[in-house]
Amino acid sequence: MKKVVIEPVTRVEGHGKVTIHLNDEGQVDDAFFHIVEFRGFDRFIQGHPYWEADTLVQRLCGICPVSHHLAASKAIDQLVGIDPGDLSPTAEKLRRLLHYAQMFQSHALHFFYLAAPDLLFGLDAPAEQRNVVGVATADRETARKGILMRIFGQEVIQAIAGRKIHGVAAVPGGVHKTFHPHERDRFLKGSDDLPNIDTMIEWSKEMVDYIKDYHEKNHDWLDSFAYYPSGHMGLVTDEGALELYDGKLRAVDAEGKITLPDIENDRYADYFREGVEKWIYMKFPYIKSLGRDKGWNRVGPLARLNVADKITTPLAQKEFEVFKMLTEGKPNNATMHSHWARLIEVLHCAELMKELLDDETILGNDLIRKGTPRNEGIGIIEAPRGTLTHHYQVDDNGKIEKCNLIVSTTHNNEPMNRAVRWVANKIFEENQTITEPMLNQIEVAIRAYDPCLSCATHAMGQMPLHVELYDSSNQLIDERFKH
Amino acid sequence: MENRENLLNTIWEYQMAHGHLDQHFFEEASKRFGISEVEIEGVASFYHFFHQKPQGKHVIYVNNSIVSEIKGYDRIIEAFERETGARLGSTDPTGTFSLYSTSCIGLSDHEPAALIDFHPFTHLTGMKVKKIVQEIKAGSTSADLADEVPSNQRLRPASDKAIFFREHVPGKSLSRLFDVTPDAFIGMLKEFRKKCKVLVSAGECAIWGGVPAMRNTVPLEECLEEAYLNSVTTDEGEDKVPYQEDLPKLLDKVYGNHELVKIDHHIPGCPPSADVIWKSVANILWDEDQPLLCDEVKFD
Repeated sequence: MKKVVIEPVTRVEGHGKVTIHLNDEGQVDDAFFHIVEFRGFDRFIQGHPYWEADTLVQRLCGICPVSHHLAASKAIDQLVGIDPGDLSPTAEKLRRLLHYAQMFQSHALHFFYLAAPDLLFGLDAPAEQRNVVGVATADRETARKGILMRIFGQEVIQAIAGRKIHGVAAVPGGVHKTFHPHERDRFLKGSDDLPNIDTMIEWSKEMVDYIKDYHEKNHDWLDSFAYYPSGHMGLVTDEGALELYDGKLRAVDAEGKITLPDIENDRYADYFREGVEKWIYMKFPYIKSLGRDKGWNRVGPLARLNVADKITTPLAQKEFEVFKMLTEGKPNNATMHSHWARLIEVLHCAELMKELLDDETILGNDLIRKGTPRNEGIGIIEAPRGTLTHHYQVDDNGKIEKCNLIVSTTHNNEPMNRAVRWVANKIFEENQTITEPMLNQIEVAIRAYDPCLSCATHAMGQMPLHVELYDSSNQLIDERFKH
Repeated sequence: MENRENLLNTIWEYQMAHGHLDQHFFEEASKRFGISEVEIEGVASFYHFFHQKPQGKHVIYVNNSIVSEIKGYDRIIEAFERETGARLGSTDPTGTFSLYSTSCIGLSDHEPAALIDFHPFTHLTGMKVKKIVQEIKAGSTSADLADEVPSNQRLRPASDKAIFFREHVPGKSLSRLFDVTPDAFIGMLKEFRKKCKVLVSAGECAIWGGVPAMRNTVPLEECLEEAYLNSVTTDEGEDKVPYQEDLPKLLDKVYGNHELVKIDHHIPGCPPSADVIWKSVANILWDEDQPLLCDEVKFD
C-alpha cells in the first residue's frame, strides 16, 4: 500500500491537497481531493443584524467578493420585503453591471493567470514556466491584454462599489450610490490608461478565437482529458437563456434530460441536500430526488452553457452555437472545454456591460425601495464559478438566526474528485514511475473548475465528533465518539 | 514647560500631600503646565475624588450602588454620621473625618462597601463601622484596618471560555497550539520563516485573523454542528463531521501569523490598497523611503 501526496495544489484559490492510494500492484485504489481549510461563517454570523451580512460574508473571498455581496444582497432585499422584481430599474441595472464586471475580471484572472500556462506550455512544461510570468515572457501581447481586461473589470467594480475588493454597492432594497456620467464615459470612450468597452469586446472575441484555434490543434487531449458524464446546473431566464444575476434553477443530466425543471429560487431547500465525507471539509450537494450517487451536478461556465438554450447577446450567441455543435446540442462533458465556455462568457459579459453602459437608466437616482419586512431571504446568483446560494433567517429584530451558504465550488466537489480519480487512473495505468509533470496533470484537471476553496469551506471542520477507523479491506475496526 | 499629560498625576500628588487643592496649587500648576487656571480647575472639579476645600484627616467614601442600597446603604451612612460626627457631604467639627458617597468603586460584590483614605472596607454593618471609626480615632491607620478583597470572588470565566480575563503566560498559547496541530499547517509558515529574510503579513486575516477570527467567539463544536449537522440542507440522519488523517486538523482558534512566527512587517487593510502594497514592497526591497499616507492606509 502506497500513498502519493500532492500538496499544495497550486494556482487555485485557497488550500487543497490530493492523495492517491495505490494497492500492492501499483494500481490506483482510490484518489481524493482534500480541501484542507475551513472557516465557519454560517455559525459565527448568527446574532449579527442582517444588514451587516453582505459586508461580512463578502470576506469569504478576495477574488469574487462581489458575487457574495450580491447573493447576500438579493437575500437581504427579501428581508426588507423587496423581491428581485421590485428593485428600481436603476438599482437592478447597476447591480447587474457590477456583477458582469466581476464575472469578466474573474474569468480573465483565471484564464490568463491560472489556466493559460497549462495551455501555452503543455502538461509537461517545467514548473518554473507554468505561471503568469512564463506567459508574459512567451507572449507579451496576450499577457498585456489579459492584465488590461482584468483591470477593466476591476475599474468598473471600483466605480460602482467604491473599491476593487470588498467594496459596498448594494444596500437592503437597492444600491447606495448613483453612477456618474464621468465614470461611465471613461468606460465607453476609454482613457489614457484604460481601453474602452469596445476594445474589451474585441479582445474577448480574440480570446474565443484563440481557444477555438487551440482546440483545432489540440483536440486530442482537450476532448478526452478528464472526460466523464455528469449532471449540469445553472440559472436560466424564463425563456431558457443563459442568466447570471437572477433566474430559475435548471439542471440537466449527461444526456440533456431535465433533472431540475426551472425552479424558483425560494424552493431550493426542497430540492437539495448536502452530503458530508470524512476526508474533506467541503460538503457534497445533490438533487434530493436523484440521491447522493446520481444527483450531483457540475456548475460554472461549462454547466451554464449546457443548461442554457441560448445566449441573449449576438456575438456570444454565435460562439454558443459553434460550441454546441461540438456535441450536437447535447451537454458537453469534457472537463477541459470549461476553458472554452469560460471565454464565451467573457465575451457575453463584455457585451452585457456595453448594453448597460449605453443605457441611460444606470445614471438614474431612484436607488432604494422599501417593503414589509420578512423573516427569510434566499438569494441565488451565478458567480463566476457557478451557482451560489445565500439563505438567511432573521428574528423580528433583524438578528440572523440561521444562515446557509452553498458556494459554487461546493457543487463542483464531486466533479473535481471524479476528475482527479480519472487522471490518477490514467497516470498509473500508463506508467509506474511518477514524474512531476504527471502530477501536474491532476492539478490541470482541478484547475479547469477554477475552484475557490476558501469560499467553499466557509463551513467548518476538525473536532472529531465521530471517528471511524477502517483497515485496508475497508472493515470498520474502531469507532470513537467525542462530545 | 511640563507635558500636560502629567496634570492628573500632579493633582493627585498635591492632594495626597495637602489634603485638598488650594489657590496656590492652581497658580503654580498653571505656570508649570502652561494651562490656564480655569482649565485646571475644570479638570479638578470634573472628578469627585478631587477636593478644593480642606478635608478631614480621613476621607470616607461610601458606595451608593443599587446593591449597596438594597443591602443597607442608609443604615451605614447613619452609622458613619453617628460615629464620626460628620454629616454626609461634609467634615466633622474637629476636622478628623470627611464623609461622602461615591458611585461604583468596583466592590459591588462586597456591599455595603466604602473606601477610607482609598483603602477598601467591605461587608459593612453598624457594629463594624463603629469599631473601625473608634480604632482610627485611637490611632490605627486605615491601611492596617482595611479588608482584603479576595480576588477569587471576582467573576472569572473558565479559561477556555475567557477572552479578556485569560491568564497570560507568554508562550503558553503556543505550546497548546502545537499539541492540537499537525505540522501540515504551521509547518508551512515556519518553513517560510526559515527561508525568508523578510516575512510580511499582508491583510487583516494574516495580521490578526480578520473576519474569520469571529469564529473565536463561538465554541468549535457549535460551528461544526451548524455546518455539518444542522444546516438547512443537511441530509436527514447525518451524523458525521470531516475527520481523517489526510485532513489537517484545524487550529483551536484563528491566529494571526505573528502569534506563530516572527513577522517583520504588517500591511493593514481588508484588502490593503495596491498603492500601499507597492510602496511597502519598494520600501522593503529597495530601501526606499516612500511615506505611507494616512488616507492610503485603510483598516476596513
